Amino acid sequence: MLQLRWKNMLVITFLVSMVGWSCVASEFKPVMVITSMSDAFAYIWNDFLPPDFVNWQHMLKYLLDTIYMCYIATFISVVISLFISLCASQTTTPVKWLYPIARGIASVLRTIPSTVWVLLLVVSVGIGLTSGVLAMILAGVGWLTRAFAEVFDEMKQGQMEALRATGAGWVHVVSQGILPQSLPAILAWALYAFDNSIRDSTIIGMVGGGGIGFYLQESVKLFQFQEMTAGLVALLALIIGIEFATNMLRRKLL
Amino acid sequence: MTSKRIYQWFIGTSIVLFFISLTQVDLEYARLTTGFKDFAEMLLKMFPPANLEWDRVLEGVLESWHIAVVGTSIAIVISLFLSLTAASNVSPMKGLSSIVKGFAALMRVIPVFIWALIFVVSLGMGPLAGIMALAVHSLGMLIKVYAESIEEVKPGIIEAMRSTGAGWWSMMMRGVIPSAMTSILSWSLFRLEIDLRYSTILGMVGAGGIGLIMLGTLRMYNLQATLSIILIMFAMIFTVEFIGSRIKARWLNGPTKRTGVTIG
Amino acid sequence: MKPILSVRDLQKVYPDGTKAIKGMSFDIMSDERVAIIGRSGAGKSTLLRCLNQLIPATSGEVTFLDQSVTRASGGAVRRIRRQIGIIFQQFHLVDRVSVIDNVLHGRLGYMNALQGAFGLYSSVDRKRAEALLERVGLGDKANQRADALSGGQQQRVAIARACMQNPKLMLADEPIASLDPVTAITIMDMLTQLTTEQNIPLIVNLHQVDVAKTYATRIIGVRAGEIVYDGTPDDLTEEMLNWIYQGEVTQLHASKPVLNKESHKVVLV
Repeated sequence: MLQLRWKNMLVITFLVSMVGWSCVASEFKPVMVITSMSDAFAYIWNDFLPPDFVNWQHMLKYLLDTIYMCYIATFISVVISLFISLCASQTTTPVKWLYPIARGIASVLRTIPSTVWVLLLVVSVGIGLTSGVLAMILAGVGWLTRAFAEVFDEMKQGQMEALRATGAGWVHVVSQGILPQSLPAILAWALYAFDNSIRDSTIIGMVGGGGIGFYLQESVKLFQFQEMTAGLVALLALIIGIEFATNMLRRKLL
Repeated sequence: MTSKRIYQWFIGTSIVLFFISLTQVDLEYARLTTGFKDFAEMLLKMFPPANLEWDRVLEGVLESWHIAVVGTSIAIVISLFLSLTAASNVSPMKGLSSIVKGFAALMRVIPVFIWALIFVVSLGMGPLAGIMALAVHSLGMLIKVYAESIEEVKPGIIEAMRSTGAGWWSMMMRGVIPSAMTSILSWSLFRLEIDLRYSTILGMVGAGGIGLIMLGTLRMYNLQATLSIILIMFAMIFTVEFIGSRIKARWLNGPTKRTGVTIG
Repeated sequence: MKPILSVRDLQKVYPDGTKAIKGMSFDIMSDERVAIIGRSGAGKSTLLRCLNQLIPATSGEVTFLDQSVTRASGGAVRRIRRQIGIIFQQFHLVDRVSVIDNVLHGRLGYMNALQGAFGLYSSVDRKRAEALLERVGLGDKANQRADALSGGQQQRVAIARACMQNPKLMLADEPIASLDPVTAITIMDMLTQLTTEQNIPLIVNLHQVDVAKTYATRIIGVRAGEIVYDGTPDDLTEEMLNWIYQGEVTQLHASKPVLNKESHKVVLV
């Protein structure tokens, strides 16, 4: 027990010194929590409120763009991910050597943040929603592939073997056995991906990928803070609305 | 309707909606083909990764790490206190619980980059904006999950503490928090992991860290350096994920509800 | 002699309209050991919790050492509660905390917020907690986590915690219902000894009539929220028991305890 106490003390000391070091290095003092909070909220109160919906048509266009962007990107990533994930699961991969390649692609795509993709795409493809959609697809494929592969991994080997035993080829096994079986899980993940892409669209737009994030960033650059708040209110309504809708669909489907 | 029909209907509608969406936005298809070529060429130009000012990059890496650690710590301290008022079974005042929970929901639903934007505007560019953005966004989540952990504390424990005549603070610190500690710890760790990931990219909206440095190299079209930084970011995120999963597997039964959090 | 506890026309109606207690009155003297018997749902647990305001009574009066429990609020409630020890069926220890800390929790009612919150117990309290643990036979377990103990051991820790409060009255709500028969006997012995030594009354809710008859000096029979019997164990007739339990008498040794050789536990055959 005494040893355990010592271990606890050691862990606590380590944690506290870590936090202390971080505070010193980033020149952060605890009192700044209060000062910067009050600064920021004073700023919000004076400059950001009340929301100004005067440019609502302009805003609405960006908002709709966001929905379309996210929908297109999610749709394409689901389709692409389905193919890659079939290779990325040991139960379903048609050829053994495809498995590590598919896994590798997925984990590289997943680990590089979508913002990095946007920044790179903006340089080559240009600012706008084309870059945004492409970045969303790259990021979406990354994590959907992994999610789908996990769904396939959980399928029972026996069913696959039974189908194979009938002499069915890979395409038949997949289309007749695997896909129908895992459809509910796949659709649930797809809905979740859509939900997620709406949240993601903020930052993607802010670094040049079009949609509502772009509108928010532009308003800030033009010092139209109240218009930004209006955009933010609309965005929050969109996030909550989409989450509500996907939740409802998910309950219907599963 | 049979379930098969529902699925057919759902997939059919999805495909139709997809084509409608395509007509609604002005995707530049011409740009798409040439753009992809440009993109591929650019990716090639990034090799081999090089041209780094190592000391600046190291500074950026550390700054990202510091932003995450300080931001998460602030959120943990504030949330620990506020979650005690938010948990319906121990909240000292009726009504306070739903007020605090509502506040947390608002903090949570506003994306972290919006917070970063607001703090960059009001506090200026730099790590402080990043710290505050992470702190505010994290506390939205932590208040919620801490409160849920506290609400799962067995009612008997609270009743027994009350029966000794212990005051509210004693009950919280001696009985309630120790009982919920495992779950509080694993959520905090989980949040630190998320914040470490965020901190690498928050810089792209001006909130300090390695992201800000990458923005600089890209603006100067220094592609090889950019790739080096991307690789470093990759390594950072990968390490955090790896260590996080190890710790959770070894010491804690990690948060089960891991949905709802991925990162842009 | 003045009673330690006096209950007058106590009533409790739950928000859903359930009448748990329909007007009970009794006095408890310092040398009494009272067993409250009755079916589950008869209102025994509610009654016990009304005595220290863990559940607020709807009407009536509970007086403890000349102070009104029912009308007390805020700090007064805490001052009353710390003088009343209570043992629960499920022990209710803080699982993740050491045994000795659980015993020390009995002092929290006597400490201010700062001392209590940071667990700054005095050395006198610490010595006393160790002594009490020794007394209940768990001196060697002081630094183990509470959830590492068996049910009977946890209940002994709970008794030590209650004694740590220096109570003027001891309550026990089905203290042996979750324990095997042999452990149950040791727990009842311990409760009896400790309360007799300190010359304080014990009120215990029990399910097992034979245990109640063995240990209590007075038995209160409760049926559907009303007291239907209040007297000595010897006067408790078979008819009365049937009336209280409506034909469902539970006895601890209704079946014969036998030592199971494989698990080394006493089981009922």
